[in-house]
Amino acid sequence: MEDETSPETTHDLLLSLAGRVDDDLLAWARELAAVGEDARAVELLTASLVAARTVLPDPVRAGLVAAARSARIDLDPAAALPPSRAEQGSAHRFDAGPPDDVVSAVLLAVPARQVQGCRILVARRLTPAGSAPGPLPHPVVLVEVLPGARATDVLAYQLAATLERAGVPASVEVLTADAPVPAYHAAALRRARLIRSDDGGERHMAEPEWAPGRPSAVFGAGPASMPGHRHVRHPLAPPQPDVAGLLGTPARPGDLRGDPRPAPAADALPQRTPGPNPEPVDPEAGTLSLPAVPNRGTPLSAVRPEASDPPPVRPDAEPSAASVDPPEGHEPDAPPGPSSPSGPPTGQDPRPRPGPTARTLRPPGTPDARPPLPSPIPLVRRNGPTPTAHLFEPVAEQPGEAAEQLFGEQIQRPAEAVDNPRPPRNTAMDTPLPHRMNGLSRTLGETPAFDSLNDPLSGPLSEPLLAPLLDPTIREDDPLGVDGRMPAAPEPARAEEDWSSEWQSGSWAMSPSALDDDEPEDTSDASPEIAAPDVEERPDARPAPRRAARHRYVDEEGDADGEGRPPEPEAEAPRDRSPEAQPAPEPEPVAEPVAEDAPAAAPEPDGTPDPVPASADLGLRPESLARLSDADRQLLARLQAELLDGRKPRVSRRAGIANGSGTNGSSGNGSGINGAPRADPPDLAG
Amino acid sequence: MTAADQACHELLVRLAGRLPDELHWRLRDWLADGGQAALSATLPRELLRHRVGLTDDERELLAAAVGQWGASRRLLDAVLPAHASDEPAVAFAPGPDGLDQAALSILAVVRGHPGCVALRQAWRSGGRGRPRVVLVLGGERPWVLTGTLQRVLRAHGDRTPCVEVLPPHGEPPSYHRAAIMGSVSLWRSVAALVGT
Repeated sequence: MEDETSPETTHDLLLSLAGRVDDDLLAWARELAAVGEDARAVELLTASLVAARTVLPDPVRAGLVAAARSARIDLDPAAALPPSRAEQGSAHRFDAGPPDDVVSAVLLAVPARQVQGCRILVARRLTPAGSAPGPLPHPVVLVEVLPGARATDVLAYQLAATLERAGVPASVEVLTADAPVPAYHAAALRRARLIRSDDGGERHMAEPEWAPGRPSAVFGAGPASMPGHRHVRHPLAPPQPDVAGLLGTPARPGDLRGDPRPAPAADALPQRTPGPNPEPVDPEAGTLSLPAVPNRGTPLSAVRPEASDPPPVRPDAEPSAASVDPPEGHEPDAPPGPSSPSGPPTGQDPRPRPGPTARTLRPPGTPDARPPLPSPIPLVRRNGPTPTAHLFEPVAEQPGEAAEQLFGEQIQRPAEAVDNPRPPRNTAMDTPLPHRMNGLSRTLGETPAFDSLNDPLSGPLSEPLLAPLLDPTIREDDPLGVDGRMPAAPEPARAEEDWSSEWQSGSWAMSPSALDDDEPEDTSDASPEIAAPDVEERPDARPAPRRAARHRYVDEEGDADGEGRPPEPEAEAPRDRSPEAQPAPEPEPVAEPVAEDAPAAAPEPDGTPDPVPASADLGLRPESLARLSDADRQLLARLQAELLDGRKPRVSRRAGIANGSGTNGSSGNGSGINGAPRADPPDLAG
Repeated sequence: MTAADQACHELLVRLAGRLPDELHWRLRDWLADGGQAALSATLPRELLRHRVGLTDDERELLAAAVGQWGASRRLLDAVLPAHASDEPAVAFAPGPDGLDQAALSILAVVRGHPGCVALRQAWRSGGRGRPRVVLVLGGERPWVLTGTLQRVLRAHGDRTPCVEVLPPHGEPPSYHRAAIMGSVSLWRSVAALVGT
């Protein structure tokens, strides 16, 4: 019996148009409907039907007219189509086809997840469809799904695409279990052959209703084309068992054991037995529990009263399995799907059951049950030494004690980088840079400014410019680190003294890395020596300390000739440094405070006596002397000592050096100052 | 009505290789089946959907065909213009020697159709698949002959038949010129050779 109602959805419209248009157009329209382009699907269908002047029954015509109006296409099927005419049955004829055709093999290879809860049957249509039909016979795949279980149009499209890719295009008609079917599908179901059933145990609750009335497993195909049981043949299994089943040979228990896809087991049947009043909307319920729809034509279950499994198969398998086996206990032993080459030899249903039970029993290995990944291997151990170690390799190849010391110091760095969760750069920053650079500086005999350039850590990994920012001694209220250059002593006199000392020493003109290297020593060494006595001697220097210093330069006439320029002793000190002339273990005088210059200036070849003890003999007033810093006193003492000794001061050479050094850039070339030193003979001779 | 069918047939011939094969053969089938209403409703929309531009000559053919059949003027005006016909990036080859069942069926139809001069066959490559392209020179009511040959090919398993019925004289479009150059002759009318 045909469905006498108008199709409500596009999928229903396509079902009602099956056999009335060519199969390619129907498949195209199903694809369009699956991807949401229902309007174009309706447009193509309507145009084809209008062009062919197809006569439709009234429900189908009304449904097409409604769909065309809903899709707002330019065609009006109500006016373009010929008048409707009632039909009695379908003019198409079907048969079951060969049991081991390619379509069946492709459908058996479909993953069970894709057709879970479905029963798949195949028939072959022997009559043409549409105005431009394709070759015949045409395979028609009938899929029966539970109501509300899945999107029927999407499933039809997916299966059709699978068959298309396999090179066996076929029409896929997805029917709902309880819905009435058109006459076309009813005729196909009567001749269809069951390929596979992945509906689990739910469907078996309904099968006892129509199973006794079925004369054969093939829906009306007769014993010659029926399989021996409902079990689906495995694609990799030899065709002989199925052929035997098609010939009507009763299935034996041994055959069932060898079949990886036996009848839907009754192992899950006891637990899935619904209540006495099952609801039709429950997808877990079977066809038996679904109420009949009297106004929607013949239900699908009524179409196939003769399409039941042979009684010899089911009574042997189901009651024993249901009574002996625990419902859930052997679920994990079931193979995942029909693609398994071999099934369990017990004859039980190995297929996964739909529903949450099958999902929870998913074998491990899925992304959900994947074990946690092992902890990542450190990059140093996997790819060799750290980049820091590579940077130090050329340095370690240099002979000498310093190189060995440096190498020995750096050997521990990879292990530290491996074990320490902090980045290697932070580790390097924790180590005082002067201590790391001492060996290399002494070996190469470079100035501290060049030391920073020769620093193997100099560059992106070291980033000396960022060192002050990363210095933990920087206060939060001074993020730029401006005050970080000053000693940590909070006394204003101490800060002012350091400011003037820094200005006089010329360390501000040196490289920032050299300054950074001296910061730890500033706070440790300079504070206890300078701050205590100066604060006591000059308590009135706080109101205007800078002005007092300027006054001091103006008052000192002896310094007006340039001898007292502050950068001069600092600029000369690093140039005179050599490996032989560096006995001090901490040769970092450039950025150190002026108080550190006293021991550094002592070994100069001038033989100048220590000016600090002679500060009382400078001839200045006590208040003026109190305004002088130690460096000023040293310079003044050295100047006076040279004047007293009658020696020619090395003003010209030192001035030339000072001018060449370009402390402030004002004494550039072309100013006339550089000409005199070139003309003068070297001062070393005389 | 015949002039409109002729114009629509010429337009569909020019659109060969520019519209998808699965759509192109349907348009021709509808034309052969007398589905002017279907063509007027679908052809302009498909041209817009596939962004196929038309030259001035092709636009005149479109207006002479579906414009006469009640197509929406708004859709016709919205069709993209084109200065020259797009050159399809496909190639044609004669294919294997001999005639298969489909070629023999086509030959039987063509020989019995009035006005046919020659029948050629080529295999197209470079696009989607490797379809057979049937070239017929001459023939009365070419749109009807096209529809018939398409259905013959579909019955033999060719799901998207490509049948081009061209006028016996004149300069064919570039697509068909390349197809003729790469085709092999299956049949030629003796009457056309002697000039009768």
